[in-house]
Amino acid sequence: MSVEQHSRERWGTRIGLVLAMAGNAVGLGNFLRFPVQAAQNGGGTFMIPYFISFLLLGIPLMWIEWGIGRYGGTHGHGSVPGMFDVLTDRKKKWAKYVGVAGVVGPLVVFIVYTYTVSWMLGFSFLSLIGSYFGMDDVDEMGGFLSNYQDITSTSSTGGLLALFFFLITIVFLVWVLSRGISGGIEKLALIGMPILFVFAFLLLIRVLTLPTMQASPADGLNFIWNPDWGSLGNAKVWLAAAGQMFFTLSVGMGSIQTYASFLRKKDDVTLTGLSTAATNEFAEVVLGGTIAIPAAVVFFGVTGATALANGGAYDLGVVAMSVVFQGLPGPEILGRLAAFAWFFLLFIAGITSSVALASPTIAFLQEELGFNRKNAARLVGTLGLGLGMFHVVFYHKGVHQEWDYWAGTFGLVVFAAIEIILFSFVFGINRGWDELHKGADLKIPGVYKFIMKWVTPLFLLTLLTWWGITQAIPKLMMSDVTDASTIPYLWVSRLLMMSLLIVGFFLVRKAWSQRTENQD
Amino acid sequence: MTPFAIFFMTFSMTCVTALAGWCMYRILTSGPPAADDGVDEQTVGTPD
Repeated sequence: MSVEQHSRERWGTRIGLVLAMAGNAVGLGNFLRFPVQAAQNGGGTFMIPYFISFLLLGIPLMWIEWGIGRYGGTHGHGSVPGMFDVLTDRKKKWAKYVGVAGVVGPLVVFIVYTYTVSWMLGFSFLSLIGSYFGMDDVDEMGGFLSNYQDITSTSSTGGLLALFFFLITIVFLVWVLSRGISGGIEKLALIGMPILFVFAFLLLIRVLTLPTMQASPADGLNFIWNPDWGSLGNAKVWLAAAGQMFFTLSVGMGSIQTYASFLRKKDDVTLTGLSTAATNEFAEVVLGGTIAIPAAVVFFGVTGATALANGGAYDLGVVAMSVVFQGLPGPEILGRLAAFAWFFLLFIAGITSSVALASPTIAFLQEELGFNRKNAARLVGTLGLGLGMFHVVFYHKGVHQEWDYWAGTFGLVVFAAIEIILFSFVFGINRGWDELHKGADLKIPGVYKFIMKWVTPLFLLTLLTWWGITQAIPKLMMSDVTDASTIPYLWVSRLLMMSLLIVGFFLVRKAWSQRTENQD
Repeated sequence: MTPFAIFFMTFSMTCVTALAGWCMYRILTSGPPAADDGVDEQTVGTPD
């Protein structure tokens, strides 16, 4: 048995790293989920628990994940199983198996997410050619979106077109991923993120200069920011704010750790980690809060916008915004261009996150199982396409939401709770604190040592208990299922996710057995 | 907009913009990372 020796890839520039990390964090949630959450949970007062969650949950987890990633990388591990193994000084055999969640979790979210990201590419194209222009009614536009999602539809804008854009998205992802860290992921961020910010600024200006229709742009901003003081005493609002922090910063996934593993031993993680979190917050609070909801309020009034926001992110982001762009004052071509800018910025936000979600699996395949990067990228693309087809075909059976909930919602909190306990109590907070400050450009305030050890874990356990009782148990028992015919599909979804976890355990066992053999 | 809505919006946007701007300024003006001691280039055992 021979052993191939290779050194790890590195980021080319620091700004490239920050933009790639920000690309990971800035996703559809910044532009669609945040304004809806703010509007539904007390408006301006939502920002109080939101900022407290940022300080007590988001920033500490961001620093810890960067620290774990760099530490794992300096020991030759770019994925969580190996990182958890070295965090326990390779003394706890279970740690690497727990770490499987940091590979399978993002892979499952990658499969779910990439399909919806491909819709944004599809709608960018449909906007440019004006396919849906003329459908200036929310119900009609809702039907257009349903038809696009329906694989059995034979119309020219039906499911086959969606499948075509899904294929293009997967091929593009494989191409980027196979080009490596600095040649693929970093370049995508360096080109994509500035485009995203420029498009978002242009749309922000357009929305704020809209004439008064059903309401004014100021009424739209008032809808998001007007405080409801009574909501401050509502536990649900605090938990919604904490939940939003998870989604927006992409903590509790495993992808931040993989990106940070490509740092050198003395590269800074404190200032760079904080920069990533701050850039994401800028994209969310300043840009995300000023586009979709204010535009919807101008066109549909406060009542109409509330109904659309309650209908979910796609009702607001795809259906409502498509109607909004058709009604913009001026020639139709300007409306088409604005619609293209909106959907393409969502595509960039999504694709940079998809790349990050695929990275832990690629690092695992490369470093633990000996794949070369191109083959690893192809295998992840094949998995994304193969399992993604399950979502394409059975989207209307609720499989998409089932996968998204377990891997992309509840799973994040479970994983983060395990991770912070390992870092603060097994690895040790004193050792962890020293590790974070190696090569640091920013001294973390001392109070964060206490926060990382006690406050954040307690916050996470509270969140986990609350969500477990109010959401996860009813979801597990399927007591929220309204259409009994979807139950078999939901069970198949769970079996597929469990199968991926079992395969992950098996592969970790195999990789570590080979490692032991090589050492002998 | 109500005065409180204006306050919350202005305060929130100012805070995140200032934090993001300060971080970016620090990154763009900071020097290169400390020199590595050469031990972090790991090798990965790959059986074939």
